[in-house]
Amino acid sequence: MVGPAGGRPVLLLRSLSFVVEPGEILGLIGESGCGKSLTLLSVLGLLPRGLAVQAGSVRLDGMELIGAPQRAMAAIRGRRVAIIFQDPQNCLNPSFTIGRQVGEALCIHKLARGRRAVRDRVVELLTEVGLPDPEGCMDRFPHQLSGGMQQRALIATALAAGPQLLLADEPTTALDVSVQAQIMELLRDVNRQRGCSIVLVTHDLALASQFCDRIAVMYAGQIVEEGSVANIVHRPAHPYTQGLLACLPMLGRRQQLRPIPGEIPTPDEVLAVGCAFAPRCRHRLQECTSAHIELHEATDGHRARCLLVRHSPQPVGPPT
Amino acid sequence: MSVRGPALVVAEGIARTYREDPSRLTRVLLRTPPRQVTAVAGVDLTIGTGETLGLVGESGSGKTTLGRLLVGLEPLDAGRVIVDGLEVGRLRGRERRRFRRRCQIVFQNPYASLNPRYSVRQLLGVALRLRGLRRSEQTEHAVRLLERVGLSRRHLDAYPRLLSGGQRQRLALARALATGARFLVLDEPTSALDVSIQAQILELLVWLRREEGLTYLFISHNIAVVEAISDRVAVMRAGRIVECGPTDQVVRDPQHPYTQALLRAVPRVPSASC
Repeated sequence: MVGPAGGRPVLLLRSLSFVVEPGEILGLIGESGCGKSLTLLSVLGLLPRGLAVQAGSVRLDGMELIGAPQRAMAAIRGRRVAIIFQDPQNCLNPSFTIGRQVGEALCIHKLARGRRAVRDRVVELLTEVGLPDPEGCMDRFPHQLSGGMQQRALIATALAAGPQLLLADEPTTALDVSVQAQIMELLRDVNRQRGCSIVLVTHDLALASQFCDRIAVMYAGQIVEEGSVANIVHRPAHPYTQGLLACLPMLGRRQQLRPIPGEIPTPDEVLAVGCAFAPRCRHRLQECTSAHIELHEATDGHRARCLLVRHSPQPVGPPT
Repeated sequence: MSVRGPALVVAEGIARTYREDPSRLTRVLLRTPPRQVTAVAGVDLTIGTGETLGLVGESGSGKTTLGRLLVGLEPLDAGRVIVDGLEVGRLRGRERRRFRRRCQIVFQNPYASLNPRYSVRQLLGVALRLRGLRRSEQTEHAVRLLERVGLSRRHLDAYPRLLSGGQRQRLALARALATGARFLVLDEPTSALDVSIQAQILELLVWLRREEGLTYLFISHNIAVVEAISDRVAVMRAGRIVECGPTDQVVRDPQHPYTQALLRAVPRVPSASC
């Protein structure tokens, strides 16, 4: 649970739980303001000033990260859990060369000593992320690279210390679709070859369904549905997931788009009890706004925060 | 190529080149000649009355410049554009104002395209005045416009910052319609919006087109969105249109290698068999 430390309490994330297995790619899907990025930042202990984790725990390999001392967290950030952001241009320092910025991660975690060793290792990393002419890139400044190359350089920085878990926050949203495909392929290679788990945060359900093993759908600070890609995409149980699929333009399927009526609630509009999606839901029941709603198991490993799942043993089919 | 209805927009061999003009100091110091970037390099285009032409391409392909050329926001370096019988760029005075009312453009970022110091009433008032409406008639007209785009009278005195992204884009559409426009250039109108809101705006665009008999040039980098709304699609790359045809044909059976590559790169939901 995440909310402002003082002042009027507004909960931004509420009873949010998920598990990332070793070597797994988990997709965290949701629209803007649903708390996807905050979730990643709270894992790393990097919440913006004024926000705090009010309850709950984050464990990495059994080790508790919430409330861990700063020094312990500094040893984990970058070394065991790394993050890449949406806009590579804003993440790279414009006044240092690529080589220096990738090398910095090695030096901080004392993984290479001496200029020669650091340089060799950085060239290896730049080669691994598929930058053409890695030697040349070392001495170039961020503005001399294209957006896709910048994102590759950033991935190299994230991989420098060999993390077990890579958090990718909309890594391709600022890129063209053909570059997006290349970057996603690179991330998949990283996942396969290094066995590194990835949490992919995105608003693009189609992208996640192509790339992830499992998907968790977020709405208004909660996970409303989670399951395998096939379950989420072909047997969505939560009306919000169904709505998202119905309004997602998909290529070669000139279907009529069916918009979800209404707007995304702001955090202080979300009811303290009941389902946050209820005001926009076509299947709303009376108790949807009064009862506390748990994640109900639809099938094995496929859970949805919806009373309809509890009411019917079969998951509700996609809307006709 | 089949065009629905008589052509409303005709562009012939239009081109636009930007010259990067470095300051005199840099020119002297670096001895570099001014660089030239050809954003649009000879494009022919026809849009039929009531038709939606989708324009796709990656960033820097010249989509936006092409859209701006069609509504006369950029001077042409070559070629000519005729909209509804008026030749853009040749117009002066009354004729030019008439043209400006006929063609409007809706921009990608509704946070930047609406003056934050103007209320909704004022934003629409500016456009309605252009149409020659008196102040007393404006309110009634503004309310009617707001209702057409799914907003209401209670938004009249709101300022843009109080509106959500979707509401702002609705307002931008209302403002474009306020002038009595028949041809709209929609430059990535849904790119800044969430998917659930994007679908609402696309639905509104389809409805407005039918109700008002509008003609659209719909610009987007997202070919799936273009497919959902367009009758025909034009694919742009490096200032040229490399492929143009009926939407189904371009998506199902792309001819140009670039279109094929673009389509391959679009993420798709895996089929039900998995």
